[in-house]
Amino acid sequence: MIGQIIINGLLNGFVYALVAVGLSLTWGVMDIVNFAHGEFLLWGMYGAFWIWALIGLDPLLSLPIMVVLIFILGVLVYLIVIRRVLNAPGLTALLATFGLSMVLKNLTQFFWTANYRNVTNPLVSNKSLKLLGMYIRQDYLVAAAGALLLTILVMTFMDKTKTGVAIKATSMNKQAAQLMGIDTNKIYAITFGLSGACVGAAAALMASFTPIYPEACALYSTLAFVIVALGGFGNIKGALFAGLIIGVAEALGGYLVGTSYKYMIVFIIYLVVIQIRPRGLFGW
Amino acid sequence: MLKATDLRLGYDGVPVIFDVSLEIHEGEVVSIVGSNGAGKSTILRGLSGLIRPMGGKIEFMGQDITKVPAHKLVEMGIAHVPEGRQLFGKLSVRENLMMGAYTLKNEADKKDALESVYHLFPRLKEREGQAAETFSGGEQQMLAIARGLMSKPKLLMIDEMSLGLAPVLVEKVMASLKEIRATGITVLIVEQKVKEALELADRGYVLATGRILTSGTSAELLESDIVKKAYLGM
Repeated sequence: MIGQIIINGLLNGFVYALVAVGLSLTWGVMDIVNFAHGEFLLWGMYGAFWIWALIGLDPLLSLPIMVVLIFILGVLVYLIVIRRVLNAPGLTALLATFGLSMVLKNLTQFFWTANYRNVTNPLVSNKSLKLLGMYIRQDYLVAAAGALLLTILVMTFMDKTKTGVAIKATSMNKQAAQLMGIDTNKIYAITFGLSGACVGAAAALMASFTPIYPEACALYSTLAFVIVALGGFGNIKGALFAGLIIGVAEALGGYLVGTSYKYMIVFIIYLVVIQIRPRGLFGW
Repeated sequence: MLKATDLRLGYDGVPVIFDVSLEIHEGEVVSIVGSNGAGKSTILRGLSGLIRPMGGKIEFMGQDITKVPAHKLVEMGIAHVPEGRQLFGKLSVRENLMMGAYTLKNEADKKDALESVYHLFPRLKEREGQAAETFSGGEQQMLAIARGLMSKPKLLMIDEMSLGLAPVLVEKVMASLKEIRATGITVLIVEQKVKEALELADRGYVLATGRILTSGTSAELLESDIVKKAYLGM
């Protein structure tokens, strides 16, 4: 039974991690707390839903489209909103993204109402596989595997490509990066885009089994903040492990203490870890 | 090669450099000397585009670069090794160097640049996988200079390279400048160690409270009363 609970938690955890990786990029690199991160995810889910509803393309297959679209959304948000407040006092940027989150959420309701939307007859069904005496839902498994794959892809991008290393260099020392010939404005735009791409992908992975409505992403967004802080700012590997820890804690907490208290367990873990390691488990 | 005319620089609207004019010719080693707080670093920050001049004009290779941002100047051939090294601490030596070569377009150039800095500082090659922050002060300074050289600059500007280094290391790093110069790179150094800097340079400018006090060949300056009294304690 515990094994089953842990598996369930891990499957969720991989998806949490991918959402958190996106948040970690902007938070860790640019020191911008993007409160609209959850709304990026929301728009990704609506995007995937409408592509399915209008042309019948399954959300899993529209993943590349959502990656590109939410990447563009991220870049636009950077250029239109974030760039202007980057050099202002920290609180300004915070309020700007908070306002942005309100605007995006209300626009969602304005365009598509507060009704729940569901993708029916998805490509991968919600039937379970039986493995070593445990039941694993196929759609969760595919989402988790996809999320893990994409997280590894982002990690590889950050470590191995010139742009990825430039993003890290910019996060360590912006002025030194400029002195290397790095256009930090462009790097920031790419980072915001990449952050969007992560949630665009996560949205497509989840859209088949998650009810879609304007408040759908509040939980993911809150958990993403906890995961980033727990894993260590700007640390992608940290976000992956913290995502798994939170996923398992949530599942175990729900089982051992009661479903209504599962997030209490999550936040207690967070508070304890932050006391001992203020920069997170894998923080610099 | 580089010419600044009536340059006025400052922070948040408050000027700290007043109408400074200076010129650097191709192949020279020029030093700006002066005590702590004279505004030496601010001049370099202005020349490399990190801060935008409040007045005056900067020309590089005949082009007006007064308003060109820092990252574009690297491409044009200006490298600035900032005060306090400003390395990318978590990145490896090699990654730091490759960031230095960010503006180089083709792989052959990058490889060539890497080989020449490894030749200049063999120690860096031995430890290329190590994170920059684990280095000692002297090694970090070598890495900072090497990183500056990776963009294959025409003009290399180095800020306070002696700061925090033991005398034996200062000599070592200064000696590497002679080798750099021999490869045809023009060098501008900013130093608090007036005597050492002037001995290394062809010409110098003496800066005090944001203004040029005097300038001339290094030999002239070392013999001048102003330098002897104020900086050499003679």
